[in-house]
Amino acid sequence: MNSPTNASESRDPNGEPENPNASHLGGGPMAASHEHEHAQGYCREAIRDLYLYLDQELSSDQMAAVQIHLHECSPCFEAFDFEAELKMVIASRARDEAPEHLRDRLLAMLQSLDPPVV
Amino acid sequence: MADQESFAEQAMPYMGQLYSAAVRMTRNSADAEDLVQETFLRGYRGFKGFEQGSNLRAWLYRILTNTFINQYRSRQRRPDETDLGEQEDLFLFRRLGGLEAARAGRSAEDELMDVFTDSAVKDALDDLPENFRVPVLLADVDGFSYKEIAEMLDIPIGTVMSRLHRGRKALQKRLYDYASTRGMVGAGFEDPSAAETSTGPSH
Repeated sequence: MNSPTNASESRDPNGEPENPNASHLGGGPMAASHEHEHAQGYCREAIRDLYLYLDQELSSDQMAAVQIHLHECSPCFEAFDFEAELKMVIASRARDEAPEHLRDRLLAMLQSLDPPVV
Repeated sequence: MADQESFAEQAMPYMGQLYSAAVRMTRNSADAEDLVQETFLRGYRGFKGFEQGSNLRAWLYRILTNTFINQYRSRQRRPDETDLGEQEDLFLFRRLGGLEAARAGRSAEDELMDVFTDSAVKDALDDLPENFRVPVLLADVDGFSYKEIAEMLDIPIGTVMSRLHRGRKALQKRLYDYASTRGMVGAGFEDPSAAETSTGPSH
């Protein structure tokens, strides 16, 4: 059966965090202090720009605006922090070492192409 | 103008990264080796057109990506337009964001590193349809800008952004499914979509 906490399921399908606290696993210590009536629009903008921010694709003015919001809004800060950490984990976990013989194979291929000019 | 003789010396330091990207693209180590070899061959032949001082890494990745799309994609039977499903934003954070709070004293990164092993992340990436897998790989693993990815894939920046957006959400869904089938998403973590999936064997 569904858990009693799934009120958040009915959130709009865009996943816009109209109340970011709802996503906070029962609400963290900062949930109560988050004045979302006031911050709602800023949170929505921040979450919309989250990956642009992490990907460093925002202008410096836009970056600064996001940073100001993150400074003031713990729920958004936590979301950004989580996504930033996840991005690092993905980057570090998805590597494969080249086999030892590949370098020799490539050099042999290159040498076989054009006789050296020298 | 770049000197072909110096190609091997300049390009070889990127071999490891190119190979790793090639494995993620082809999902196969033998194809990945062939793809890197073809990339070096084309790179060597085209090196006169490379402008010294510009970004050799991006130049090589562009060749790698083009070669993959033109040669290897057609060999692979998996259709591009697999239904990705549509996930909400912050899919994983909404479900696992409390990990570090529940086990005080550890960072989110440490927790995520514990939960998601190399093979979990690789499998989740490999499971994405190519249209989404390649942009996500180039952005999140190799760190290229939207503009660079757009040039590599020869698609508009807006398309890069929408594929990244959807691809990342789908990746998060796969990572979550991995964690929940292994019971890593245990008591104390909200699972708004399916409470019963969180009761697997605990570790």
